Formats: sequence, C-alpha cells, structure tokens
Amino acid sequence: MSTTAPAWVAPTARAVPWQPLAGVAVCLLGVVVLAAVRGRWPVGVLDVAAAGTAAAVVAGLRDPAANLLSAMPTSAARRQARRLMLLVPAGLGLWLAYLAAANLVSRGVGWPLGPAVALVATGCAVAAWTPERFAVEAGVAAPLGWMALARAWSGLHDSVTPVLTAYQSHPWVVTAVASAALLMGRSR
Amino acid sequence: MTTNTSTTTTTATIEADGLVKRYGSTPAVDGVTLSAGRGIIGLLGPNGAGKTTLLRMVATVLAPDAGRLRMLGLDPADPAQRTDIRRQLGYLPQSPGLYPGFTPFDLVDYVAVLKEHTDRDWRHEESRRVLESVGLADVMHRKIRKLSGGMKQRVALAAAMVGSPQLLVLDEPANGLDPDQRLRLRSLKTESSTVLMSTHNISEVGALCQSVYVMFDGRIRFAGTPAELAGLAAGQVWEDASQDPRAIRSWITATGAYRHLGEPPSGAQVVDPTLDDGYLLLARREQS
Repeated sequence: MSTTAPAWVAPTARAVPWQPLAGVAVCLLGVVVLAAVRGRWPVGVLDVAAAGTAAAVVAGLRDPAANLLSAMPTSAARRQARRLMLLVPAGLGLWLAYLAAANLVSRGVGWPLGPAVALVATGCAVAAWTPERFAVEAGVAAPLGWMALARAWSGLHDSVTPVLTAYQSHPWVVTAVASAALLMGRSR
Repeated sequence: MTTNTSTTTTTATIEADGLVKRYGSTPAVDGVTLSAGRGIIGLLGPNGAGKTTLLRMVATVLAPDAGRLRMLGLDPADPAQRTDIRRQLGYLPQSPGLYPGFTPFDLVDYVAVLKEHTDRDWRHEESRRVLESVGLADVMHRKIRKLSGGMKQRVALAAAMVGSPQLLVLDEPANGLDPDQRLRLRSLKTESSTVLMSTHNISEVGALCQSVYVMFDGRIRFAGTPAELAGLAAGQVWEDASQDPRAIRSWITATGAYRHLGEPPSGAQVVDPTLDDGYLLLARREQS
C-alpha cells in the first residue's frame, strides 16, 4: 500500500456507486418489515437476499472514469482493491444488520455469513477474469445466476447438486478458491 | 498549445518498431515504426485508421501483439518500467468519463493522488494551476454534472496535465470544444516536452504541431512537418469558376470558386497548397 493511503479513502468512497447497495438495503428492510407483520420468516428468502447483497457489492466496482484513469501509476487492480476495501465492510455490515433484524423476527434464521461472503468473492473473481468492458456486469450476474441455478436445479440432478449448492454447503472453501482466482485474475 | 523545451534529452521520447495490434484477425495497427522526440506531434487519419489504438499503446493502456515499443527510454512490457512511464505520462482518452458528483478540483486532486503525489498542499496548488491553465478557474468548485460538454473535456485535459508529465498523449483533445475553446487550446501552455495528439482537425495540426504523422489502414503513410505535408500537393492545386471533371477531387470554397486537386490543365490558375490539400491528396492516393 502506498504512502498516499489516507488520501485515497475519501475520493474513492465518493467515486464508488453506492446506489445498488442502498437499493438492496431498502429491499431487505422491506422483507424484515413484512416478515415482522406476518410474524414468520419467509422460506428461501435468505438465499435471494445473500445473492442480492453480493451483486450490489460487486456493482460498486463500476468506474465511469476508468478510461481517464487507465494510464495512472496506481493500477486499475489497486484501485479496484481499494474499492473492495470500502465495499466489503459496508456489504458485510448490511448483511449482519439484516441477519440481526431477521433473528428478532424468527430465532431459526441463525447467522449464515458464509454464503454471502462466498457469493461476493465469486462475483469479484468473475469480474476479474472477464474482459474489462463487461467485467462488472458479469460479476453482478455471477452471484445472482449461481443462486438462481441452485434454486432451480439442485435436487433435480444428483451429479450437479454438490456444485450448485457449494456456496451454501462449503462457503469458506468457495471463498478461498474465488479469492485466489481474484488475485490471479487481477495480476494477469 | 506550446511546450516548454528548456531541458535536453538524448533519446527519443517514443520509439516504436514494427508495432502490431489486432482485434480478432483485423489489424488495427499494422507494423508502425516511428521515433518521436520533443515538441508537439500530430497524428492524422480517417476514422478507423488506427490512431486511437496507437495512442492507447503509447499510453501503456494496451499491449502490442508484436513489435517493440519504448517510451522515455523505458519498456512498457515490464510492469515496473510501465509504472515508471505512467509516473511521467499524461493521457487524455477519446471518451474519458468523469465522476458527475465530483467538482473539477476534486477530480484533478484525486488524479494527483493516483499519480502518487502525497503532499496535500502541493496537490491543491497543482490542481488549481492546471484548472486555471484550461480556463476553468471560475467553475473548479462546481459539480461536473452541471458543466457543459466542452468544460468536461477541459476537466479531463486538466487531469491529464497534472504533475507536468514529460509525455502527454491526447486523443482528440478538441472533441466537444467550441471554436473559442479550440483557439484557447492552441495557446495552452504545457510543461510536457513531448505531446502526441490525434485529431481530425487538420488546421489544428498546422497551428500546433512541429511534426505530423498520417495513418491509413493501421500504417503510417506520411511522416514529416506540416509544411512538408502541404508540399505534397505543390503544383497540384488550382482554382476555377467551374468544376473541372479532370480533377481527382474538387470542392467549392467560401469564395464560390472551385478548388481542384490533381494534374492541372494548361493555363490553370495554380495556387499554393494548404495542409488540407496535402492530406486530401494523400487520402486520395490511398483510396486508389
């Protein structure tokens, strides 16, 4: 990390598009309020919420000034890493707040942190390995797509079920693999 | 645009040898060899000639598929040297993109941060200096989303000029500028010793550049001074009240006379060629 570390925090935070995360936060709040009104937790909604939160974190990597900044000594990979240093704690905070609220409504919800983290890491890794002009779009689609595939196909085909549900059954393994892929993708 | 040439250097700022870049099987840049030293260098050519691709390679944004490229005596293929080049490089891309919620001052200051300038006071002073030099002193604290297209282009130009880079790469810097702003661009003072700029505006090349390269189909077809480019059409331009079918190219001028390019007929009123004449003749030769 360069010695300009304190100087990059404020402008990077202002450059990050926070709207996707704010939008997901509003949706999650709506789910909690509805669940509280009905007095029970809706089945399967945690999965969708985790994927939505992950997609919103990855969407924060979109940089409208990427062209202007493409020839900076601070590389695109480092700029993206800085964005993630701001986005991941924010996304994690949102997810924990959501789980806390959900546990107030229904004690059976628990604290499933791993799947959300695994989906964020997967989205970032996909973005890192996709051509630049649609990297963020692919990264956003990855957690949503994986979640949708898992919901649609797991149980129907025994051979693919372990893979489709890996982010739920082995979230920290998925996180480790995706993080390694992210680092390799960014250092290409 | 004028450059400060008070320092001396023995090596060319940009050296390219047999540079190739393909998109799929289509070569965008096809064996470009050039050696550019100090001063303002213009890059002319029609759309799709490969100008932007060449500038992106010089700006270290794009790696060539083949050939050798060195800037400021350094090799951009080596990551450490590439970073060194970028510390001494300013780049204005064709579609820069800005943060609408930032002010010009905030954006230029952020660019200075990304250029690894740690001293906050220096950054602020430098941000003010470059924004004043592009004529944005009055709006430097207004949100970018409220600025006109021409002002946004000048914000991006100011960002490229932060830190007085030795090499300034400008892709269509006059894009979106009105005639008055174009004139201001011509009188812009830069500390950069080498400026490489692409443009469609031939008169800009005549007004700004000490040397000019013309590209067609990914290749450099002319390298010389603007006067030499105009000189290509010497003795091949004439004017007449009516259109001459023998001319390889004709157009009507502001005075109502027809200007012709080609082999002038006997008795024709041959006139001095302009830069446009030289470029158009070259383009015509390429087409045929």
